[in-house]
Amino acid sequence: MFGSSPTIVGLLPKSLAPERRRFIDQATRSALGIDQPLPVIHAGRPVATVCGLGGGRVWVGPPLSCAVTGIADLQNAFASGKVVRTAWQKSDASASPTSWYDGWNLNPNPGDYAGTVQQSRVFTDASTGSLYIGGSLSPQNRLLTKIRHTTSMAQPSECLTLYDRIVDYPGCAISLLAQSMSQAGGTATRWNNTLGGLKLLVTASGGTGVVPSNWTSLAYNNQHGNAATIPITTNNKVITTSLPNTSGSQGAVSVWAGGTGNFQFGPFVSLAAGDSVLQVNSYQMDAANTGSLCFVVLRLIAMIQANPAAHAVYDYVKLYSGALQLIPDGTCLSWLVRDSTLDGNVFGDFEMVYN
Amino acid sequence: MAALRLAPKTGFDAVARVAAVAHALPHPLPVLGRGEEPLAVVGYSARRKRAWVAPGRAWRRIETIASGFPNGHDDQIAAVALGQNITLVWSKATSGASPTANRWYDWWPGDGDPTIGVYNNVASTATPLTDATAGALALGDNVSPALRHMSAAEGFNIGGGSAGAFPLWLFYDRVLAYDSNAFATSTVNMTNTLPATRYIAAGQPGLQLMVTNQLGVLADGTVSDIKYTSIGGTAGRTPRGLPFTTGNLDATTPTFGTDILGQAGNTVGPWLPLQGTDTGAKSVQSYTTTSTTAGLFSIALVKELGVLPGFNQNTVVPSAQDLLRQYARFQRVLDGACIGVALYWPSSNSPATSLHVRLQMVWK
Repeated sequence: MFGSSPTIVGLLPKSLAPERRRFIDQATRSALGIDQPLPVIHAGRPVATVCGLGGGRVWVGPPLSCAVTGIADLQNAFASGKVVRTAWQKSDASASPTSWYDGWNLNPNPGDYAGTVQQSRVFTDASTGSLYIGGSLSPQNRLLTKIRHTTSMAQPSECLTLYDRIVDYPGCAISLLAQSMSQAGGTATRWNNTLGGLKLLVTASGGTGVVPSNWTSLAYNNQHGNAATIPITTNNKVITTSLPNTSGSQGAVSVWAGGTGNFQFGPFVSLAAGDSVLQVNSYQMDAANTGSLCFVVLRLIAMIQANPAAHAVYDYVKLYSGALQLIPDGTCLSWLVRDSTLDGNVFGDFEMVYN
Repeated sequence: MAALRLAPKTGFDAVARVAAVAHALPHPLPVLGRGEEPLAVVGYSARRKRAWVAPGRAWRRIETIASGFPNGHDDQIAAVALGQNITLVWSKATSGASPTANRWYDWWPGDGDPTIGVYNNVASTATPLTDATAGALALGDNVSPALRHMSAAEGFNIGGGSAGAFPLWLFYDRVLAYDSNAFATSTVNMTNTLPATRYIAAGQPGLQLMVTNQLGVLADGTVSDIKYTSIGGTAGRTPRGLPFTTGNLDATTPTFGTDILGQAGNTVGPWLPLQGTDTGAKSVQSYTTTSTTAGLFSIALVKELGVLPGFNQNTVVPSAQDLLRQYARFQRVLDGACIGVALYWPSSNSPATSLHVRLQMVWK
């Protein structure tokens, strides 16, 4: 069987090294009569895909660009030590414990809100404030396989949201006048396709005064690059009063969490129907206020809730595999949290494998 | 072979060669150009006994080869590794108002993220809904020919609330709605100019009837009769049990989601029981009520996507369901699905002030 040469249907990958071509040729012979796509692996990497078509014909195509093709790959990655584990802890003495707030600026290794005001900043895992993900591993795929979250003190429950901080706009004024953003600092470099999934968070990064201001507009580009504005409704536009100043021990409160009792929505901005967000263009409010805001474009990765009596753990391989997530190179990991009472510290760990 | 005009240099020969052996294809395959771009998609219709050829743009990504999840868990992992997944967030307020025990509520008109769901002001007119409809979760672009499935869900009750005040979450695709229906003792005929855009064309079963309080129902209104057309095309079908004796629409303007028509004690609900052996509804023809009270109600054709049980507020970790391995729940979500959330409250204890759901989908 291996002595016969099948008729090749499809196109061989271009610019093949002779040795790699020889592997593919061998694979086409093996694929005769096998009516399923088969990866051709050379030097540990997929180099082509072959599929038997019957009648002595074999289809040859480019490799699946996926190094993790199933549970066996994840298990092999564990066995091969291709694991990144990160334990982290942050000081958390937020003065608005019943709100959603961003742990980006918390000690230790706090992220900042520096730079040109209202100008985009692009984040990677090398940005100060990002949790460790193990550097760039491409072309291998890195997947989040476990997350644990624990609270301290008498925290009845706490919901932690892990996210990829992609772009933000610091130092945004709370002003009666229309405010424009600058994209001079760059645009989203991850998850910037039309398939959506990016959310918008607005935090009180510089502390605000006691006068509430309402949104009158917020303009952005959606996942298609089209200009759009948020729907303004009765409840979801209030920036609440007495937001705390942020420091290394106080998170930046999400100011979108409106509702009659405040903080009942959110933490994310309600965008126009069907939209996710690529960049923020402008905004306006109905009153001025002290302090400043930070607009954050992010991708949500995981949500987990814990209390002191029950440390929450999600195993994304064995028990909760449907929530598995890709962590691409450059992911700037940070988190949001929603407390019920004053907290002391927030800590946990997560595990990733790559292959 | 279906016509596909390709110049030789753009790969006509390759397409022709694949089409010639299409009868042996286990599934549609792409034909690639010199830049490895998909020139065409070739498949075989066993019924017509002929090959078919589709434009290459139909092949969104080469990785969608063997579209779907024939290898189950492995396919899901591979899809995630390719970034072919999306996480949706649903966050709504309750204002701490106590629900009626054992009642289903539709959170379509609830404020939060996504924003308030819209009702058509044109009365009693079939209105197809999509993911671009205000109130729907932002599903992202269409992924066809890949198949999208719900793979995980979590529910969070956050902020105050009493023990036992935990909901049962239900996700649905709001396919077609007849809104702004007034209470009328004489038969009101629906306008059916526009059909449902999902499920119906393929004759898929499972579209259910959900009747909700839309706005300002000032007294109990009893929906005494509804006539619908079944998925099989039979008109004049009537849901069983109407009119329900008690437990009908509340006498208040909805502030806690909006109540879903059901029987007292929720022995019926959230969907109206269809007549006989009907497996779904295709459209609604008419309705009648027993009084002419003020207010409006809505009748929606919905596809149930999944259920997530809740747990006590402030006592344990949140509800979390792996929807992948529990295949009965590995529900497919069609392009354009208008996803909404309904909740069942077993207790009248005051709930948490805010409700959050994380919903993950994967496609391949």
